[in-house]
Amino acid sequence: MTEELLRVEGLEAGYGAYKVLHGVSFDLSNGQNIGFFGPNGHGKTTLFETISGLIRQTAGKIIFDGTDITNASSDAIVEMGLVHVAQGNTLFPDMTVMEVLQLGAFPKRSRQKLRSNLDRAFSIFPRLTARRSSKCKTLSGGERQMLNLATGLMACPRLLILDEPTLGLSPRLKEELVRPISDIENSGVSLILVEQDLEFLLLLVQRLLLLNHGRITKRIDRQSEQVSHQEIMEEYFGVAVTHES
Amino acid sequence: MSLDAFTSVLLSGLVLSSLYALLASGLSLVWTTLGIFNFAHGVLMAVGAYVTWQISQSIGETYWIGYSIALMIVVMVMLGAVLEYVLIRPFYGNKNIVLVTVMTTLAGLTFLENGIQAVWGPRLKQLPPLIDGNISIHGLLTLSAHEAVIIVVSPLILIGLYYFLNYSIIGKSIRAVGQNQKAAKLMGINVSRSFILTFGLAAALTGIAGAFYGGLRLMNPTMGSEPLVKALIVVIFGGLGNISGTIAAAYLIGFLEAFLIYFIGLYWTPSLLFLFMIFVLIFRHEGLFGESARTTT
Repeated sequence: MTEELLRVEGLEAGYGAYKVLHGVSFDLSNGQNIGFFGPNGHGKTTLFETISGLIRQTAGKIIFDGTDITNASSDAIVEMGLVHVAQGNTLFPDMTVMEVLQLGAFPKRSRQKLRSNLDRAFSIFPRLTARRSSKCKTLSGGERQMLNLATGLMACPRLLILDEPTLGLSPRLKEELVRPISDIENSGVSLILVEQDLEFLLLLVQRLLLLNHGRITKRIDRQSEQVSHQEIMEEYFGVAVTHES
Repeated sequence: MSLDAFTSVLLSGLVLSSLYALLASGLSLVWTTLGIFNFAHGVLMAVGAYVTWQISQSIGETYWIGYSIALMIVVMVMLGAVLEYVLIRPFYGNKNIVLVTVMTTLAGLTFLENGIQAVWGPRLKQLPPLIDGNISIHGLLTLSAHEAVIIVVSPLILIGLYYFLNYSIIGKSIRAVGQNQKAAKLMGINVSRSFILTFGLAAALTGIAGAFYGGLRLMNPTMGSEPLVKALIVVIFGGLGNISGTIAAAYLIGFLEAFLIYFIGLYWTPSLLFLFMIFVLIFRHEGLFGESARTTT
């Protein structure tokens, strides 16, 4: 196993003539976690949909665990262990929680581990246990997000991309997600966490990348630099944030 | 209505229902998974019947027709895959895909119908029955053994389909693709492969209906047109995107048709069936067995 898990080089992508990503480069070592933040509409979701093979890149390279996956199909990418939990995924409205979890183990490499992964999913998200026979469309926003994360885990990921797991959740529910996500981190799965909620991000990752207008404009390593929330917000908004009262 | 007449109407209703259920479940499966309506679906019934006839001629008529049907199923799965590749695949991602594929599948229908005419000629053909002879139950009702096989085997095939879709991982993946393609892709499901499989499966189900029908009546290249219209009624009536509803509706429509034919004759029956469908849809937009609010993603 190589030390480097993911390397993205000069990635460009978009929709038809409209270019969203203008040369994005970053890398991630095994066991490392990074956080992406940045305003809406600046390419976060496009970046990860390109990495997971949903959108074709127009330039650049994606290397996962030493293999060039730039032109690989989405199913081949999942099979390799790069699993993307999409933003606001409504999953399958007419399927039960249990069925969705079983489908999460669709990749061949995870099928033998179905039992143990189910146990792990239910122990990380006990609330899903009671709802195992409920259809997805009857789940609350928080439950659906838990199911999304649990489903991602079912595939035995080596790198898990979580795109805005707190989208639309109340502060209390957001708080409830911190523990399971750090459980996932501690189980040895590398994590890319995409968030608008900086507070949430700072609780879970040490390295932060700011994506602005389809480019990475700031890299912050909180282990080597002492960067405050305030400084990041200034970087984010470009002005000092002060509370006038 | 005498008891005799009642039982014979009931039996013909059962035979019709079985064939509609086979035909409509394939149509419904394609609609649910790919989101398109396949107008070439009915002609696949004729193709199935003719291919079965051809195979039985080639291997010799001394062999049981069931072997020919088994081989035909293989041919139909492949044909279904080819049709998906040629008629549907080029248009994925086209925002007018539903309309475009109405045209391409109508083209497929014409091509296959004329193809049958060109390959097998206009002479009417018939398949041998699955089992020879008649069955009489207490002298109350008599039916051909072939009809009995249709009545018994069709539900078994449909139960098999139901179990496949609900309990096997591949079947679940097909349902997943129908409900949310993007989420299915992110779970590692190969969406193109699911589409091919769905089309192949639908073609096979229809081919079986064709082979059953070919043992009942004379075959001709347009033998699938009228059943396709009935299957369409069944699918809409049963609630789009709901296989169990489709199957239930097939039996309801089959019986309704048999009784209507008995009471008012062949002439007005199709019109009344349509009226019945429209009437039901006015009061239940989602079809008789459809769920009241389908979530769109």
